[in-house]
Amino acid sequence: MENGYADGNQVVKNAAEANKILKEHNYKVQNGDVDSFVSLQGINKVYPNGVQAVYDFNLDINKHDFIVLVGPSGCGKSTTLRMVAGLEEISSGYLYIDKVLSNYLPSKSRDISMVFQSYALYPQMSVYENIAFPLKIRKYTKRKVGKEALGYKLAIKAFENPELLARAIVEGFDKTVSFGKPHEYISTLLNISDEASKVLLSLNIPHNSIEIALDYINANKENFTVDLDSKLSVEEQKLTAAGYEFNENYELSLNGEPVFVNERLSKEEIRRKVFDAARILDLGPYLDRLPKELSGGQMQRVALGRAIVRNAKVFLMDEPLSNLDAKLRVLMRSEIVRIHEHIGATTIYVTHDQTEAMTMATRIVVMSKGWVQQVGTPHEVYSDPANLFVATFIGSPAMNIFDGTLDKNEVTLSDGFSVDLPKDFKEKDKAFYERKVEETTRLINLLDNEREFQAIRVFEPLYKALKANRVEVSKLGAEIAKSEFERLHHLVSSLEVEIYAYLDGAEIANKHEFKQLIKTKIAELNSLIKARVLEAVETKLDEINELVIPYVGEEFVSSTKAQLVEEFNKAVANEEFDLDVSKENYVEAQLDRLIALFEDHKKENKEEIIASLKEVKEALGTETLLPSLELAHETLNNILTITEADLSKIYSAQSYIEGDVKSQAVMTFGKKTKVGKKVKKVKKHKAIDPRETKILLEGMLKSYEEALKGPHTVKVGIRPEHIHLDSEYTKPSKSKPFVITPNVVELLGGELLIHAEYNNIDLIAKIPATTIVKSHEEVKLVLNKESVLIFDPISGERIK
Amino acid sequence: MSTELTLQEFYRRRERTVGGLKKYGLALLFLAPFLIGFIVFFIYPLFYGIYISFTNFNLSKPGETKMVGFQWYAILFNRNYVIKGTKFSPFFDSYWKAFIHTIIFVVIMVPIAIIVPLALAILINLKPPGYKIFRCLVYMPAIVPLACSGAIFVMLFNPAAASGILATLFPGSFFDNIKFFQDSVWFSFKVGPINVPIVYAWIPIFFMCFWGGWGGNFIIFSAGLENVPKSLYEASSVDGCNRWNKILHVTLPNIKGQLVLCTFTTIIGYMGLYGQNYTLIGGGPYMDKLLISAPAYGETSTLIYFIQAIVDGSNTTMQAKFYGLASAASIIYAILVGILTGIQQFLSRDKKSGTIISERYSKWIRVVQ
Amino acid sequence: MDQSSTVKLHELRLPSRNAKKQRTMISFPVGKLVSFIILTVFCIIWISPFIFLFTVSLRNQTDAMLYPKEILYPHSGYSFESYEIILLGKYPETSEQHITTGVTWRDLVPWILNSCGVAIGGTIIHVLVAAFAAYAFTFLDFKYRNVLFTFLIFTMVIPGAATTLGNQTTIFGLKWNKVPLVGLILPGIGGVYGMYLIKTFFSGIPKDLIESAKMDGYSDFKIFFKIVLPLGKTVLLVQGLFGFMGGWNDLIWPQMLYGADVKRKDLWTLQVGMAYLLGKFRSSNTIGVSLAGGVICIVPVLIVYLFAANKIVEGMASAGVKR
Repeated sequence: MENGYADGNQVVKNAAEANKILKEHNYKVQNGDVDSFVSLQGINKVYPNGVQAVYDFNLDINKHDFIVLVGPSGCGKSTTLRMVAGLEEISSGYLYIDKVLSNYLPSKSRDISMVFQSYALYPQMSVYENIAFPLKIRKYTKRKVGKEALGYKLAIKAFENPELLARAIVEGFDKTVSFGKPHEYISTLLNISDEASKVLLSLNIPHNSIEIALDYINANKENFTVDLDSKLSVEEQKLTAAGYEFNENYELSLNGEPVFVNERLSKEEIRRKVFDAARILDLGPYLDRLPKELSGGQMQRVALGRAIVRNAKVFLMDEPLSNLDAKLRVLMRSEIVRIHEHIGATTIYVTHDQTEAMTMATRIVVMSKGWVQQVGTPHEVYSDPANLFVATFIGSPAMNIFDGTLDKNEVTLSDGFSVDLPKDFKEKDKAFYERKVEETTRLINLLDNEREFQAIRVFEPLYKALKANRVEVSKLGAEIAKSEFERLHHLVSSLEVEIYAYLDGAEIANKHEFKQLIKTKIAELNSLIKARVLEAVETKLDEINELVIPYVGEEFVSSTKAQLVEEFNKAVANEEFDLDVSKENYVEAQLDRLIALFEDHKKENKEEIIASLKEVKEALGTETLLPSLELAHETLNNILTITEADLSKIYSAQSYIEGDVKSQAVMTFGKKTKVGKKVKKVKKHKAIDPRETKILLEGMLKSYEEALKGPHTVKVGIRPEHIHLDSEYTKPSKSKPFVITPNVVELLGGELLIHAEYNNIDLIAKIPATTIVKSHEEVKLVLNKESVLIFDPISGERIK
Repeated sequence: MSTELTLQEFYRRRERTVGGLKKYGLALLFLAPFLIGFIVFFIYPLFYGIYISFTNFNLSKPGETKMVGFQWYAILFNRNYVIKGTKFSPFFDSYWKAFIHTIIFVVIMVPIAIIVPLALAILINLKPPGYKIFRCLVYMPAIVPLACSGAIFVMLFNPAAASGILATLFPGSFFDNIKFFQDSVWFSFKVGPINVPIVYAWIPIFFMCFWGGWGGNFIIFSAGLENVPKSLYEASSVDGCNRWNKILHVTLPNIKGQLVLCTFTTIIGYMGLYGQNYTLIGGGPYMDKLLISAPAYGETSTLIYFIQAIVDGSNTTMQAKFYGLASAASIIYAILVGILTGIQQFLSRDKKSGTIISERYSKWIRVVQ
Repeated sequence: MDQSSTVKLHELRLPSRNAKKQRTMISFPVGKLVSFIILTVFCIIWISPFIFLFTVSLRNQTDAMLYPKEILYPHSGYSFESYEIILLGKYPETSEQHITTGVTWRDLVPWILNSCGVAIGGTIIHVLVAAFAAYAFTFLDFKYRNVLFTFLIFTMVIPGAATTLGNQTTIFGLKWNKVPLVGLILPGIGGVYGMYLIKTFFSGIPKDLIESAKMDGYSDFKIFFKIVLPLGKTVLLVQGLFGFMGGWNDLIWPQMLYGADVKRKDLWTLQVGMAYLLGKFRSSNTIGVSLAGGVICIVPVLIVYLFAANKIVEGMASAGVKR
């Protein structure tokens, strides 16, 4: 863990403590659990107007990787890159750069470099100044070094090679050889620090010629060494006096902890770094020029130089080669790869050209419309594409896609041409569709409004009521009941008093029996009152229960109600008349109902839900109730919402579905916010309009189920390079031959591209140019059976 | 045989010349109105004006011009030069007073007329809600004609007795106490032999120029700021710039062209200050009676005022006798402006870069290999 | 086990805390708010002279004298008295003062006509001439084209003051100072700055359009009117607007030509007339009259500006950036 970062994994009790920790560490958070060098977890980008550009981007990047984000324009690759760079805000998700949580760090603190598509060179500065700019403008954290001590030490060491030292000193003063001040030359030649050179210069060795210098050095070597040694020990004592420990390179530490210092680079250091970068990029002759005097390729190299000179952790490149002409592009591609190998920095590169991606990447991320389609090495993406999009996007010319029918392990195209696939394909096919059926059913269940959102609806008032510290419905019931009872009771009591008063004043025989009769009657009246009140309570309970009935079942509700009524009666009989249906009892009852709901339900994660609800129940009456409730609420919400993975499946399905339910790319997720029978408001949260997509999913489900029954349509893909001439291809994976009449035959270097119409598509075949093929003359072709890819036409995924 | 060749040759030659003439003629046709206007109303008056400055031209009697050599220039540059038959030449004092007035005004006004629009352009560039409206409002005073803005500022700065707005709105303040349009001197100083009093009347003139005088600069700065490519700001973010660094290294260098352009056009513009003090107070309180026979001896005279006072016919004697003087003064003015424009062009030339650094680099490479 | 009551620091919703801290990115648009406030305050002060202009000109004379402070809500309500004074040429009989302005609506009409003539007619002529010349420099090839153009650019260095006197002499010499309009319009024909802007714009028109029209058989004149002018609508419109405003607002040149001659007021433009009025009514309690005159001067330009403000602003902007 680097100094100064808070541990993101530590558990905190509440917000105040979290704030304190964050403040101590200057709001920098680190997470040691993150393994990879750069990690993007669940990154989303939603613009203020509701358009979502990037959905659920997950990627782990290791050191020295060259990651290429590739896709057509508008697929979100540039947006992702800019989010990593800090030029766009991340709407949700986590970004870790070298274990540090970087979502909220400004660009300059993230230790990244970027190359822009338009180069973005400062027009008023020369090439040298452009490259030096990032070094000049900021401070760098370096290990504190005892510079003087190190200087003396290195100076002493320089005397071990007197000839080189002499040459360094003499040439340092020679204007035709030295590129800067004498001490710079000496430091570069002898590979020592600037202070050491200054020390050497202070010895006043004559610099007229090498011989004189050499003689002088040899003569005074002893004196110099002794002198410098003593100065060195003085310095060392100073450091120790100041409390530092140092190692052999005089890097300082305090109490065992290394000491860092934030300072600017010196002019000489900057110059050396810039020259180094210029050497790598071959920019030497252009260092004085202004950007307007440079050509496109040179400007690109300057932009690259500016990026590499800082040795940042991550390099980001946003389509740097798209402004160059084709030939230059090819050249610069290999340049960039060469530089990458030389420096070894982790790079994220964005392009829309799949050739570039295939040439340069160690891993490719194929994106489309904001979704990641596939992540893999170039080989994987080429030979093992995950879906139709990746298959047709990668590879030039694009893969040929036919419509075909799959029956067990034979696929037949529309003209009857059939290819037999490996024996185990049948099982693969079945497993694929079974999996799709399961997924789709689960998704449909997820989309089922009535059931899921009811659960939230029951829970919501509970949650809200507890939050507001009152339970509306029950209290209302209790108060109505109580006031009603009290009114009636009061009426009866006053009646009783009146009657007794009358009786007392009246002249009646058997006063005592009369009184008893009255008393009985009064008691009867009281019971009647209680019954009335009970009715009122029952009506209120009924209202509550109506919410719950539709899925829980009548019996369940009436049994609970019966239970409550029984309790009530018991209380009345015991004269424990307390109609205050206690909050906690009510809550507990509701919770029990919810738990029962989920236990009956065929749902994944139901244990999690039940567990959290039970926790809430246990917490009833304690202080921890509300936090538990919040957590349970969130669990419920999270689980009842559709996960990103599901969204991606639905989205991919949408792209390839045929038929009239082809919706647009915009899907809206309605989260019901109003409690009640009708859905009043729909808050636009993420994607998926439940109604439309449900129809979509049901259609898909039907097709999947059909597919399981027998032969079904598929899409068959074969790359042009895997189509061969019948006469030339001899491998065992050869398929049956088919005949086509080429429309156009192009000669491309050593290859022929044959364009023909076959099975209603424009077939392209790429064959070596050894045999002559003429257009409009029939030719026999075969496929390489092992390279035939089968895709599911509904979701676009590959069946494998 | 030979006849054919000759015919072909002849035809070719003829077509070439005729075609050339036709093209030439067409171009001439298109250019004619413009060029005629240019020559008649620019080239000719320029040279004629130079010619007049060496004569004793009389506007109403142009036929009787005689060369008088450098007489007018001598009057303007030599205080003791006196025309035959007169005792005292007030022209020197009057002219140089006008000159000093102009210079002081330019020195004070130009920095304000650059910095204020620049600051406003930066504010507008942050694109607050309704920025387009703000932009139009800020530029609006620049379209107001002199007669109108003169009336407005007279109204504003009149004393309370004449219902001046500022005087009535802020009674007792200095708006009320100072008589802007009358003979009240703020302070004065001497430049050489000339006494230069600065009257309060300059204040309304200042505000009049401040109100309507830099709208164009504002628009140009606004456009220049917008044209700074956004990717440059992003690159500087990644490089490690804070906000101040960004202004210094990205914004300012990219509007350098606009800054130079605006500075010089503003300087040249204010050197020609005339209309404002004409409509406001007709050249200023005329306090120095000694100079009464000189044109523009008022306390708010400027270089152009000097010329115009002779030329605009408000004083026919002046117009008759001293036309050549006006011409000489305008030639001097033109030379001054020309020098300023030349400096501006020089400053905005394309710079060529040197080779120091690449030489250093080649030496370094030798050491490091 | 504290799972239910505690949350990992890692998972805390950091945005609500960090968004307020300096070290991190601020999404709240502070800059916009500050600039909005400053600009609003500034613009209110900035526009107030316009408000004064209109309100003060709509007071009657007694109010001006007796209730000077009531600017927005005049004592006797709004009245068109100042305008009446201008139009009728004298004070109403009811007022205490009996001064004649010397100016009536009979004078105003030729002034307005002259101003319109210069502003509209003159501008059209200038723009057309400049467009013709710009066309020649862009699309017609002739010897010395570049030399001539560079020469013209160089002459932009010379300020107008150098040629004004010569022009005045010429016009007086030709006795055109007794003739309306001609002397006002003609000298502007050779204006290089406008022609330069139009030429820059025309250079942006792809030459292929012209060449294909030529192959179709159009003559240069037809090309000019049917193709180039419509394409150049924006720059011509901008030039026209500036020409209109310049022509309408110009005071100095008409003053030089015609202003001296009070007997021939019919040759004056509106600006000259209003300046004359201002000169007479400057230092009395009757500033309302000159303000009314100012309003009359400014209203057409103001209307044009309010409708075309954006175009004007953008025209100026592109002219400045091109340099």
